[in-house]
Amino acid sequence: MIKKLALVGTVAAFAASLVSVGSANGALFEYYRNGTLIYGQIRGNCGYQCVTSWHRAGSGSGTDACRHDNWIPLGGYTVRFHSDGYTGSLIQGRVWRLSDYLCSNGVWRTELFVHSQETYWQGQQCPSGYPADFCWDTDSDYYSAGCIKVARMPVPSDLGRLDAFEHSLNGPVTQVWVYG
Amino acid sequence: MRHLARGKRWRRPIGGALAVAVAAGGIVWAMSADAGPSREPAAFARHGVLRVAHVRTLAALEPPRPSLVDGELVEGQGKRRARIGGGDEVIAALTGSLVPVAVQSTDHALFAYSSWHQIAQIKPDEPGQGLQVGDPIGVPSVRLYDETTGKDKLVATGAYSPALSQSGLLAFVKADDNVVKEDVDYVGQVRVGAAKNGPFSQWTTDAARYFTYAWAGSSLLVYRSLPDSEATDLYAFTGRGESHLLAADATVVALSPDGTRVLATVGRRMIEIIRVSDGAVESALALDGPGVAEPGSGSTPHALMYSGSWFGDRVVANSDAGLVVLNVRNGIRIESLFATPFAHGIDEPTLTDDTHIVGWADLDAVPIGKFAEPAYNHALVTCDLAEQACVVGPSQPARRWTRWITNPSR
Repeated sequence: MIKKLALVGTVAAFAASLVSVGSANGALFEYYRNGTLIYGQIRGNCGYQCVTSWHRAGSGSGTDACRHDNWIPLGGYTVRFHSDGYTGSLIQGRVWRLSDYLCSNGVWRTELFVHSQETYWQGQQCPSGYPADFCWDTDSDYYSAGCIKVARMPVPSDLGRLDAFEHSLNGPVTQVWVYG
Repeated sequence: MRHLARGKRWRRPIGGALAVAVAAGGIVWAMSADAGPSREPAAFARHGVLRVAHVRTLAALEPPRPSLVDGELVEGQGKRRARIGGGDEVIAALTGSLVPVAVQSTDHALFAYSSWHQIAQIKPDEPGQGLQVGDPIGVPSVRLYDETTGKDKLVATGAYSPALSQSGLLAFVKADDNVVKEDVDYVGQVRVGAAKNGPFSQWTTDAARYFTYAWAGSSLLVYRSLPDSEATDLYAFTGRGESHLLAADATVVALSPDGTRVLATVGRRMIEIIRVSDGAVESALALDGPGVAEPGSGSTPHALMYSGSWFGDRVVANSDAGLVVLNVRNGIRIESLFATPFAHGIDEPTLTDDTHIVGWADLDAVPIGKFAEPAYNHALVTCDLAEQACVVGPSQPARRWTRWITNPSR
């Protein structure tokens, strides 16, 4: 798995060098699907020589981006809001809410977030059984209902690192760009 | 309708025997797949790759059945065509494949379907597609075509997700607002009435984002979206304000031929057979169980897609790894997995008998801007799974929806 991550990291870094989007518009997250549901990568980018490391991320339960629950479609998203203590029903804690997306076949994708699996107080709730929406304990947690998901464990987690990037800036992360 | 606090969205306790079945799911598959069930009509290969042949006309696709082709209702192997939609596109923008875009009545006389009038003009390479919060996106409608009269009529504007029962009841969701808007929750109520003449009464008691999927006898299967996710809870409604939860965070893979049970994906990694009458879980299979799905493996399914079908003891479903055939005679086991040459597998696969399916598939990608998700040309597909052979119909652009017209209601 480490080899696979290193490989996709190399590919993603090369692809990133070919594409420059939106750095003049403020900080953003860049997410590469990498052709897999659970071995994607995400990083923060706030301009010249201002990027974070790549962190593993996943999206969706299938690869048809124009189908509900499947991975997030390619393109640029506006971050509608960021919260450090979101109190949703299925998604809580540190989240970034993204704009809706109209697919070329007319299908309307909604309720898209960057998030993990934690409680609104940024904690873990890991009872036995399922569902365990507020517990990060397995690679299967990278699957999602369409959102981009990053790991909550260990501490400091990838979610924590993205959140630290957000709060290290003069302004918020305003966009998320999704690449293939 | 019963409101469920977050903590109460847990499933009913699973009995000891079922828990064992879940844990042993992968082992059951591995053992039984080689042995082969003795009473099944035609054995399938455990793994295979579906071959495809392309044809240029709808008439060359067998068996003949009604289809939707770019806003036309097509029957009689392409000989009878009727333009429908009332000037709108005949697509299901709000549901995609979660609910069929069009369904046919038992007597084949009525077709209930979704249509869409788009308002927004997107800019594919701009952040947020160039849309601002509150921008109007489009207007969905539910319409009805009566083949006996040749009349096509509007049932409701600001409505979507038609479900037509065998007794002629039409259910759909009527939104509070006719216009879908960017980043604004599109909520409404479930309505039910006689398809031909109505009136349509409200079955839900609070506004939410519902999707009426299908009828299981007199029970209406309804998805209720979770507020911050595309995930849904699955309910069975039996009347106004009368419902019970079948499964939290679940979508229907298939409804049993007698309409008494659903096979559902629950929480993305679990599949269950659930009794419609009371929500009891009869069987379950964990897709991350031993021998079934290793993380990152492309050879076994990690998630079953919604909107498959059930015929006899078999269920077919699209998945991230190809077309999955489940056998549900005693519990649930994966009988076969067929890789396909299509971009996203075979969508909305429907068993027409023990070995044949119809569905549709994305073909080649067409770039949209520099960064946006490409469009896909698509086509109707028929397959003989015993022969591992498919026939692909004429290609259509992404926006000109082409679908077989079936009806998941039982």
